[in-house]
Amino acid sequence: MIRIEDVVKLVGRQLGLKKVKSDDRLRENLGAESMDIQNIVLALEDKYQIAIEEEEIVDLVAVSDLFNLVQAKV
Amino acid sequence: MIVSSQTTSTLRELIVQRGEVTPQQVAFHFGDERFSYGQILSRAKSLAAALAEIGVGQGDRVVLILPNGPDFFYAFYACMLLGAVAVPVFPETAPERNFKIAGLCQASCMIIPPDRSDRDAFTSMGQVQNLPVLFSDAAAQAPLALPRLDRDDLAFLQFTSGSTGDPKGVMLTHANLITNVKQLIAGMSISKDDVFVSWLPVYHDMGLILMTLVPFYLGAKLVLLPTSLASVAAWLKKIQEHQGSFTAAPDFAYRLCLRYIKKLAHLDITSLRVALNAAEPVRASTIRNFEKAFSLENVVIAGYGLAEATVGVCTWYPGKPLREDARGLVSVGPAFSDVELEIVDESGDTMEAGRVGRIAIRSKAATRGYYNNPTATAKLFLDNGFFDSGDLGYLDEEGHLFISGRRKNVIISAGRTIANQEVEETIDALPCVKLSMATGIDKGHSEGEQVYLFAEIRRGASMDEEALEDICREIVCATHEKLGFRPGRVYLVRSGTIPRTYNGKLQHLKLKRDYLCGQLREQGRILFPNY
Repeated sequence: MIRIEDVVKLVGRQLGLKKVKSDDRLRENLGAESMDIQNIVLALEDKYQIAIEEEEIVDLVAVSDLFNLVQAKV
Repeated sequence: MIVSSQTTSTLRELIVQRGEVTPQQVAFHFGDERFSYGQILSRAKSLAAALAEIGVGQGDRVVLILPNGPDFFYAFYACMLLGAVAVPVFPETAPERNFKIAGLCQASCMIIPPDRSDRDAFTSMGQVQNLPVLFSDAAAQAPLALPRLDRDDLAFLQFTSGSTGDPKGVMLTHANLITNVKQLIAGMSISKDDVFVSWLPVYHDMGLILMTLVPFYLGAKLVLLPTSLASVAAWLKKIQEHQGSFTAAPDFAYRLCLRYIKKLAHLDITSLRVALNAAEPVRASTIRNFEKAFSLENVVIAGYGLAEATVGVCTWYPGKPLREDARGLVSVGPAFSDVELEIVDESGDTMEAGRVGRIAIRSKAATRGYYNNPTATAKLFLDNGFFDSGDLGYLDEEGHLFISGRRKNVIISAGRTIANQEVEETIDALPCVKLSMATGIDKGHSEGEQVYLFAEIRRGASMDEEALEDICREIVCATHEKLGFRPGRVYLVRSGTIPRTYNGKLQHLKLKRDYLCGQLREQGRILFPNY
């Protein structure tokens, strides 16, 4: 069972931010750079034991996109 | 009158000649604006006068904390006019690190952009440390007296992380720079008809020397972009728009283009003659896939260089197919003219072709050492006038160099070299951390190595999840604030997990092995997080 709170928490942990919301945009609202997004994806892969393709990273905009991506794979 | 760059022996002559003889000529494009040589010279003169007013003179060090853009050039060439020594530094770190470098080179002044959000922190720290902080729009009208300048005078200091994390200032003279500029031009058959497109940082060697000094020297067109690669599309679009023929970037930037290939494939960048791939390990797959994706042939070439050789040491031949060995290493080509390469063993003896050893270099463009650091300088040079690059590799029978690794304890992440020790010092300074270790882990993704941080937390710290979460965030924030990047992963580990030798030296490779084989997790050494 994937919970959006856990994905939100993981994003906050990676970016060093306490208040992250699921509709926050990774780059615009949270200041993530492309390296940070890569790091978040790698952390999600390890946490949920999934594989995310490079092409799938391109379409990630908001925190909720990460959640949807993970949910579709587990 | 034609500017004859052949006679240029200092960077001051370069900018004065260009600025006086062809003042209208565009030096570079930035955003939608164009900046002429005349403009650079005139702004550099008034900034130089302002520097002179506060007592900055020949040989004095001036720290430049300026991002890509016109202000960097005004400040850099103001130093050249005065015969002062420019010290360009990475602008996105906290003031403390910049002041540390200013201290190491006993700087006389620091220049920052007037619109920097933390400008007050700089000014007040400057007052405490008695170091004048000038804004890059400072200007004075007093006539400028140009002191005599010799080609062997210092032009700038390139600070590098080095292996210990204590930044070291590589001393580069005007002669070093002009020599290396000529070597780069000859090595890659660059001409004034080439069109340069660059987003590389102008405050770092490859971005400054290869991508701005070379086009200025030749009078070639330069299209400069901000360093932010938030969109690699901007880079490729500029190449298409300006019919760019020469660009350079680390391997990860080319990989990043491949990631976004669906959105970029329509761009036509076939005007490129050379796309140099250097500053981090070069992957054959990157070159092949990038060329295939953009219908290029023998355009992306591997290169190798380091600040101690000014910047460029060798590159593969433009227009020739890449050479890959049985291990999958890509050759970075033969040495430039007036550069000698030798592979030596641990005792400094020359090794035969094909054998891997330390890469030693002798070059007319080689530095004379590190500023104010005789110990590090003595370590750099071998007995025969060669210096030790700190990298490992071999030469094939034809003298082509292959890089196989590095001996220095550094992490190369997204094209940036990060000293493990500097990260560790930043984290160890946090009150909740007892001891930390930083290591680079490459999982084969497009960004290259990720910085992994392992931190033992102090006894007595609360072990509940919220508290551990807070410590993780604190570590990420400290790294971001002080060093300008966020770590790939932070692990809080039990006391005694970080391995050390009997004399206390951290064993990075051991921890990395134990982590990668799953042993740390199995033995319950990782407290947080649980993946």
